[in-house]
Amino acid sequence: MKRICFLCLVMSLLLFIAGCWDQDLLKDARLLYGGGFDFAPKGKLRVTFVIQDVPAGEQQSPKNDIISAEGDTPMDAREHADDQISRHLRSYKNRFVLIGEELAKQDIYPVLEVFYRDPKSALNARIGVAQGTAEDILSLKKVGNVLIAEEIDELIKSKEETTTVPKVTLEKIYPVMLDPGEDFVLPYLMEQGARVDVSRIAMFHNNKLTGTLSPEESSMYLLLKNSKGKEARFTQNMSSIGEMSTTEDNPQRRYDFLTFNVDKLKRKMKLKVQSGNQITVHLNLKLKVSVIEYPKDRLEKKQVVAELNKRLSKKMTDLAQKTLEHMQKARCDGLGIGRQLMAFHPRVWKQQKEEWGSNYQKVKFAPVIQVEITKQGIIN
Amino acid sequence: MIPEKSRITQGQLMFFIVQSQVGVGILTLPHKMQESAKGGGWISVLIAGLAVQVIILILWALCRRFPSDTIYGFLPKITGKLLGNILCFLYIGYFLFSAGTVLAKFADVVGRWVLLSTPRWALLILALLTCMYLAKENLRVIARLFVISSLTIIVMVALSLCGYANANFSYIFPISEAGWGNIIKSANEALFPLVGYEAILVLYPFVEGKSGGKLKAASLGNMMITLFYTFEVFTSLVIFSPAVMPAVSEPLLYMLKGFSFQIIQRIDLIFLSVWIFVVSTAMVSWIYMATVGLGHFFHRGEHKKAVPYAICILFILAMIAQEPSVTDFYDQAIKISHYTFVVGLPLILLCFAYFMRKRGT
Repeated sequence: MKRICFLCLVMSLLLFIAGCWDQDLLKDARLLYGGGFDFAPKGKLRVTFVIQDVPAGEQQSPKNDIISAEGDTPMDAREHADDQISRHLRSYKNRFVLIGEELAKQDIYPVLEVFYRDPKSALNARIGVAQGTAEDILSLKKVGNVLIAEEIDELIKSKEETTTVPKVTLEKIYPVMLDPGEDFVLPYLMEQGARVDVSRIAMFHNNKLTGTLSPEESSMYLLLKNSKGKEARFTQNMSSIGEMSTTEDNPQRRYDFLTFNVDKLKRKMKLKVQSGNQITVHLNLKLKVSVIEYPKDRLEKKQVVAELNKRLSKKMTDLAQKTLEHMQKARCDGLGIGRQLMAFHPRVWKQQKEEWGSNYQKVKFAPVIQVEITKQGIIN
Repeated sequence: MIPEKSRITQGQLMFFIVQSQVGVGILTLPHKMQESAKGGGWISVLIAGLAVQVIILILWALCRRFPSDTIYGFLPKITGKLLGNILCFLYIGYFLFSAGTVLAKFADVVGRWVLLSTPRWALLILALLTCMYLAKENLRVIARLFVISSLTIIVMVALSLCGYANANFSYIFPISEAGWGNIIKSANEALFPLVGYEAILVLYPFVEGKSGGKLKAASLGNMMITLFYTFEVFTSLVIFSPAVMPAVSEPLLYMLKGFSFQIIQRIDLIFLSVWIFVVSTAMVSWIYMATVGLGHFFHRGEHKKAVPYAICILFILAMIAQEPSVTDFYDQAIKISHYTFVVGLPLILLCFAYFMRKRGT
């Protein structure tokens, strides 16, 4: 009897402790799949959210709903957006955050802060900069047959694999954002026709957008950063006469180009501080590449391959030089040179940290890239 | 005499020490270490582990003189009945207070990370009921569960390994940025997450075998935990840049928040669930130590009967500690009482017992 009473008591207790306080039912929520932030007049923020609605029927496909609102802070604007839709806006399934170009030119930390503070936010959301405004890109609603939210997420993901844009999520840039010795870079999204193009990198300095890199330079930056994706393809003009033969009316032009994929990458970065606080960064990259397309030469002769290796190395080194120049112009310390100084030359850092942005521009980079062709497909 | 059912092996002692030591401290330790020792924070933890080893040696030397008595048995024998009994009650208070602090911090973290709108009392009751269920059993049952639950530490290490995907090793350099003085000083801070080894004061007579083996078991347990803590602090230090660390008070959870596997989106919640298990074992260990004392005085050695009201005391202690000012006071009080009861008093008692040539039978 005593035992039964006890059991009844326990059972009735269970009714009260079923997690009622924190339940958050999916049927009461509108799931936010992506968000865009833009600069609005009078110092306000304009947010655009992509909400995914999954219809009740199994046959129907999910639909996207786009909603925009203005506010002083991201959260304020989100509240205003919430006013316009039924049920509650929930962000724990958020896939990406887009920041409009104008807004990115100001400090982006205050825009992102709420994501870091909220225990329920999705920190693995991707982040990118939109050319023009984020609203314009999100307003496409559909790209081909794919909904905009999925398209952007999948597109950035596939571009990460081809070493075109860096793998960045909200969480990844957090430690870098607050660190004075390193700057982050983000994918740069452009609207082209009714499609989205992701091939460039947006450079930041002190959490402010300061420039973009061309597609080739973007891939080169990622190689210099030692963060190659699954593949990394480059196409180079190999004509020995130089640019002359590549004029448009030359019918032989198509024979001049070589496309290769970087299979293996070895990077060595050495930082030297000479007298007078001149900082020199030696970057040695060894690339093992496979030729994918080269109509001109047969690659069976060792001499030919050696010649190609030499020429490719020169071309790639030039490209690296150009990339680094652009980065220095934008003051973007994407390789974390300041971080290296902080860690291994604390005294030099102490002198330079006040004006690191301009001091970084005085750093000498000496990139040396060695290319070695190891594979050539199934024909010679 | 110790009943057969309460005897545990030396291996079980080791896991008991391990489980008592891993508690709430693990989550906040990297944050605190970085604050005071910068990149050298992980060295401080190693130093703290060494210090704990020395303290264990003192406690062991004291216990060895009274092989069949718990601390509640031998205190009156050394200092005389009146003073001894007062000291016993102080020790009971210390153990309960430690458990209460752990409980309060546990409720803080769960309330901040997962169950945001669940009232505190519900969290406390849920945690305490589970602990009570285990704490009222005899020592052998508790020790066996502790052995099994030590597997969770392996899970925690495995989950933390995910974090290395974002690691940047230059964050810990220069290691001596804060200066060696500060690194040693913050070892003092690292001592508190490591508390729990004083379980040896109560458990000593329950363990089978010779005294040397017991020391080995306790030291091995301490070594494992020191290495585990060092690993976790190191992991956090290489993942979060020095500028971010002050903003993140639970780095271990935070670094896992951004990872997701195919099926599981929030790894931090998995980590937290495993951590809850570890914290409750630590609480059970404290509750057991306190109730053995209460049982010794009020219930003819049956600690079981003391468990319900000990739980009530803990509930009240943890309910009081909601304001940050009270929590800070608790922290200070724990620090002082830890030094008094675990380092100071045992040392004095040891000297006393040595010069008076007092020994148990």
